[in-house]
Amino acid sequence: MAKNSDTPKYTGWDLMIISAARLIEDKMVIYAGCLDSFAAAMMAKKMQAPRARILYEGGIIDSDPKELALGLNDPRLLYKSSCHMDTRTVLAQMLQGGYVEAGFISGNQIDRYGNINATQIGKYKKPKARFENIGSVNDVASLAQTTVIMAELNEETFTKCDFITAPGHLTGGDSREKADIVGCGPVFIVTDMAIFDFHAKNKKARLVSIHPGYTKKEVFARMQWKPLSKRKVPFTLAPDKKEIEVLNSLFS
Amino acid sequence: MSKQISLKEAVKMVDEGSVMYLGGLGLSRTPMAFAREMVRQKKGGLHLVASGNNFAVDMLAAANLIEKIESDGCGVGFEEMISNVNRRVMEKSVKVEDYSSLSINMRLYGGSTGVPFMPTKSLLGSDLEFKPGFKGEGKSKAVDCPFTGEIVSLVPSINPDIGVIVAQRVGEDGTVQIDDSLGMDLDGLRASEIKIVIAEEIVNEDKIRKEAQKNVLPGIFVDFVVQLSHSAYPTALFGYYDYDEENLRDYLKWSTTESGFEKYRKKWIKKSEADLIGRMSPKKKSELKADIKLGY
Repeated sequence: MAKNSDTPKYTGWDLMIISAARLIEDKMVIYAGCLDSFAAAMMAKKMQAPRARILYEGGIIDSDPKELALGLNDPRLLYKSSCHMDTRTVLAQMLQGGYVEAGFISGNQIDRYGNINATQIGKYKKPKARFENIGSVNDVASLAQTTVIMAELNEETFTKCDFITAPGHLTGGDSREKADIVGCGPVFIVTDMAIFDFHAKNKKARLVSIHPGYTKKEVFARMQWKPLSKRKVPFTLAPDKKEIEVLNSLFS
Repeated sequence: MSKQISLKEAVKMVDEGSVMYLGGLGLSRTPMAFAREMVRQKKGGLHLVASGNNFAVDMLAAANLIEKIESDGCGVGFEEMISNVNRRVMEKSVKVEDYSSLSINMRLYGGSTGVPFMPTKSLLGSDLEFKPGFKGEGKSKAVDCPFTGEIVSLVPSINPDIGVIVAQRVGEDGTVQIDDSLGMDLDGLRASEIKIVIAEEIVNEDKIRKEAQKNVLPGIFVDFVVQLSHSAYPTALFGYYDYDEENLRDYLKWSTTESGFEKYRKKWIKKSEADLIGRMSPKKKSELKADIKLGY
């Protein structure tokens, strides 16, 4: 990574977590629906969003974990939660009921409209390979007010979806609205090399910023679909010393 | 009549083709001892309805005991996930129907409340709606709401033959205390015909009723109780023991091949719970013992 002597060392993955964390505003209700988002949520609460209310799979509500959880439904996630409730409260009343402002999710194939495949490739009844995934990805993609997709940038992932597990903007335009899907859909794709948003009208993914040290050419080389892009794309704001310190502290 | 039975007796109730709900999720409170005993008793041909992110479910797939599964996706682990369910689907020995967490939960909720279906706004517009698996037309139905005209997805209720959950404590009469998040367990258990609760402690019923504010389920919803130490091991039981990374890492490393799973079976399933848990070294027991304030 290119950096000047003032900024500490960091990787593209670090900047992915930090960029996702930056999106979380104080008091926001967030659903952490992918493992990378656990770190982003913890970071946000230690930085600008100490009162962000994070929900986790399984009925974990507004907790403030002391240690980074290793995986799904880790007992560490329960620390200081307001209630130990059930999945249905979180996914039905809170998510489907409209309380979740942003859901963080990931997937194995992500297309230009932010549709996600977390199920398999090949025909459904004759799969070529099946994916491991977290069960609420369709629920979050369908029901959260907005979603943020987190994924490492590579050709296998940034490609057309063989199977749409979780709806993004479907076929673009107002197709998502016409399907009567509740939430607004994905607003950002945050990766380890660049950040994308979506065109307001046609809903195609659009390159917003490139992480320092990478070029547009390198970004496009890792994608099977070409995002919309201005000629000159700004750099993602590099992490400052505090952000790196906080991120590293999560893993120590 | 006492509701208490042994683990062996509980597993004996499982028939070939039984539709089962297994509780817990991810790293906490999954019925691992029950799954281990199923492996020991070679209970095959199972039809599971459960969260796919469940080590007990995955272990039954590794042991080739599952024939059908209706779940919200597949995958266990941390950092990296594996799925023996997926492996068996690819080998064509398991038929799968992929739902989402909410829609599976709503199916169990519907089953527990005696109505034939439940509505949800999940699944719409996705291939989970358009490309069903073995359930075909019976998987879900998108309809126009008769009141508002909006589109909703209807998912059919389900009543498993047997539901098994792990709890921290249970009264002699079946009153349940669970200290951590509940997952889908209350819906899953209540939807099931035979309802089994496996608990670290069986508590005198009078005593447990003095703490009614801690009780999450009355004994009316419980048919059988099993007292067993470390029944969620190697996953965690909040307030009692943490998950065992050594065991789980061996599982992630070995379970995805037949010879590897055999290795895992010899080291971590053994011939009985007494062999496995009864002989756990005091060092490991104390390492895993939960801190009172933290719960892990």
